[in-house]
Amino acid sequence: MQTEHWGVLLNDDDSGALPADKYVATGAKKPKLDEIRQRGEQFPVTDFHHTVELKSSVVTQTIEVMKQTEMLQSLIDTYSTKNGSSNYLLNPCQMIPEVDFPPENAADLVSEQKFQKPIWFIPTVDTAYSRGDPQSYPELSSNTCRHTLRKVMCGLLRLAGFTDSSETAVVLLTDAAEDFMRSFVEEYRGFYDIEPKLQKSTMLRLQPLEQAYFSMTGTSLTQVHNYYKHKVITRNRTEIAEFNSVLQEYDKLMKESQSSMQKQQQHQQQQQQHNHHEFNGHDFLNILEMQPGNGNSGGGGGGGGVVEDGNNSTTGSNSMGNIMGEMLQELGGSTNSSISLSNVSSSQQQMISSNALYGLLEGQLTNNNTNSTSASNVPVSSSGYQANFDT
Amino acid sequence: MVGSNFGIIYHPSAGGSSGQANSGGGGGGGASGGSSNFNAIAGGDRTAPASHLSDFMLQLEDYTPLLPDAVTSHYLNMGGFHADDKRIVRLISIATQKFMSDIIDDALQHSKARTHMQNASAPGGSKAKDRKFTLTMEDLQPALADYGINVRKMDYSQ
Repeated sequence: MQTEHWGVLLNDDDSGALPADKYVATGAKKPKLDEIRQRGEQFPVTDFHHTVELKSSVVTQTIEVMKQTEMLQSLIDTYSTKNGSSNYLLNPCQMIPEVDFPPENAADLVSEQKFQKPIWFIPTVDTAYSRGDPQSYPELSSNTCRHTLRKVMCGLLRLAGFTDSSETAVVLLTDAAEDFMRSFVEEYRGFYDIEPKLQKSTMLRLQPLEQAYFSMTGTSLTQVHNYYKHKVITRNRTEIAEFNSVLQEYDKLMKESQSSMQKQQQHQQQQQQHNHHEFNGHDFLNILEMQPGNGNSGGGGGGGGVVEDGNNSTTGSNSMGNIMGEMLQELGGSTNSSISLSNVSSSQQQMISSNALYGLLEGQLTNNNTNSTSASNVPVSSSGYQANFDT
Repeated sequence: MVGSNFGIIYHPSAGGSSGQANSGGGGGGGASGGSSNFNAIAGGDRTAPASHLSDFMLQLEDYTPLLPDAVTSHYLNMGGFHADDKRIVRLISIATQKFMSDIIDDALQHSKARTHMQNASAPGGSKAKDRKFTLTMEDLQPALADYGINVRKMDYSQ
């Protein structure tokens, strides 16, 4: 299909000279132009301001997923320490923030079968694209194209793995891309020019394109498929897989952090309850302290029975405190001292107190027969008691 | 290229219609003398590589290039073509993207090598910085030179 274009030179024999009535002398144009300028009318300027969007969803997704992976990785590095192949929480008291990425970011945009099979095993679907129906593209200015090329270069840099770039390098890459496009098209045109049939053709043909590409790069255009398959599609899937694994690792750490925080809260609650129990325990001991007063009427036999029934040393020490209180009462001491003695729950403190009192009671114990009888009723505690005294 | 489905590369030493599988990447070495190897294609014979290319071109709809087709059509129009066949426009777009991506990959390798050398010489290099690469002229210049694009500083500034 041969199309007509503006500016095409016609092969007719007519000369291009205008008739005399339509001819405008060059000198006469200047006043007219000055008149237009004075009136303030602007010369018509073609507006080429188009916003060109990059529509490669696979590349955009890959870059976004890479960013998310980097973010998660930096969070993991902040909140954990790596030991071997696993990450462990650096500080269990520190809460790891929750991150929420939309699931669409890691969605599979490419069908599985599309790039798995060799291309000649995939049947061609009859579409407007495969038929090669003509399509018009918006006319862009050179500046817009250059700006778009710059954006494309930045995307390719990010896709390759660069995280930053110097301004000069991006400009140079844009220049290189523009130069490649111009050279490629020029080479393409060159293969049209050497064919007499194609010299005046403006239609795009595949064979000269392959020749031009080979002369430019030394490879076939079919390599483009391999590039797209390995560097774009496989890269996309690899990045998504890496993101999923990092996200799982982060989830694991976050659950660990949450459970440790819950444990800590439970521990704090238990500690508070324990403090409350300690207070009740004192009350309980105070209640026990009342028993010696009540047991005084019952004699030492009741205390001895308690010691025989249970091997609790605390009970024994309480009974021992009762004995000491009785001894002090007999010596004419105050009952308050015995209460303070029985209040001591620690056996070591008992030992110190008992040792202190032993010096006072040493002479009295030998003379007091009733007390020695009550002491003989508690052989286990008395042996320990004696042993404590020995030390 | 690993695991390529095509891998058919025309070599100057090979015959006109016989393709040769090659797993090596494209370089700028074969920039001249390529036209004599396309006798089969240019002559109109539907050889295997040409049919592969035709089949490939029909399925390019799913290959979305980062470089918009409108930009490619602009350069084609500047070269005197009527860019209305979107299949060929797209093929040129992806081919350009591949060419630039190869250069950038080479630059990344240069950057990695340079960073590795710097970390090896400096004691206690951080691992976090290993994942971050910045493209500089120092890395880009040799990569472009491999593809036949020589960068020179202007006179008196060297």
